[in-house]
Amino acid sequence: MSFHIRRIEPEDAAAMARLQSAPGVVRHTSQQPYQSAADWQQKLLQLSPSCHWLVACDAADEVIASAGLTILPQARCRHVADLFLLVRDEWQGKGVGRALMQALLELSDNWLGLIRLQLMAQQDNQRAIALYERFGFQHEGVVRQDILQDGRYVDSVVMARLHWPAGGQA
Amino acid sequence: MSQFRIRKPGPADAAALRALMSDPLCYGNTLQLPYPSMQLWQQRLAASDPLHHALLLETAEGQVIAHGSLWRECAPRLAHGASLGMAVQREWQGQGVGSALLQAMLDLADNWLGLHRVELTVFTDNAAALGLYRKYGFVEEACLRAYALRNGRYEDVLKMARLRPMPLHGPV
Repeated sequence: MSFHIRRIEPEDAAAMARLQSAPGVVRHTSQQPYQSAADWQQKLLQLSPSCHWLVACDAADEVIASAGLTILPQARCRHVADLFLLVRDEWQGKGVGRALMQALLELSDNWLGLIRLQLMAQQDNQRAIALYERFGFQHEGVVRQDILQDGRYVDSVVMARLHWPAGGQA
Repeated sequence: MSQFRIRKPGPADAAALRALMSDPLCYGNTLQLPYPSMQLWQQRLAASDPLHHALLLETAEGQVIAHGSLWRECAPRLAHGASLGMAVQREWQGQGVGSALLQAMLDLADNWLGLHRVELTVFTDNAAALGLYRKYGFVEEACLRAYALRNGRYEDVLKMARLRPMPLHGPV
């Protein structure tokens, strides 16, 4: 099964509403189970320039996974971005997450010059945690009961990857 | 601590808060920048945000010496949590000012907002703040490496949090 990666577009609104409210995605993110295409369209039309958002699409150009970097708004944290990644249930384990991670890290290291990429993953999301580890993300700690998951407050792991641009030393 | 008064700040406090946050100790150890503008503080104090709860502490003479904020998370699945930030004027540190303000903010969080989780970040070398937060039940959860620029260096911060049981129901 082939897929390709491109920037997200406002025309992806309906597909994004479907992707982000899929049961497996909702469980392991902070998304809500019911979402509307209209809300997504509005969101995608107003996307901030500090958000770098990619999607992976199937042969019919339908979104099957989404990933991005959101640079922190504080002036003293502009070298830091939050990373997010989610893959539709039936496309898991097929290399889509890996390809999106590779694309985001290349974007960050070679074109954005970010130093710290950080993320939080719910502690039972072992598949995602293993993927992040493979890409050099290190565990920084555990945040207790920060998110409501199917009626329970659950813990999240904090992970981050530091990358210093080469040739920058005086 | 009867010589202190704690109240909600208003637009008239812009000059005092700008002065408080002009000290390198205060802006350096928070995520603020040098040279805070009057306009920035006027805008912050004029804005009414239902997710933001600010308090300030003043002396009996009305001198503003500390400021604190709670920002509640807006995503529904995170809305049981809030982030806390505070600053105490240099000359007044170590005299119970931070304790008084933090107690007031936690009373608000526990008993009037019904929050389950209050979190904060603190630079790893800010011993005074770390001691204060530990004293009021905050626990270190993670060390975020190179999280913020401070005076030319990328510094680590600790993420700390304090959990409280959900509010009780009905007569005591």
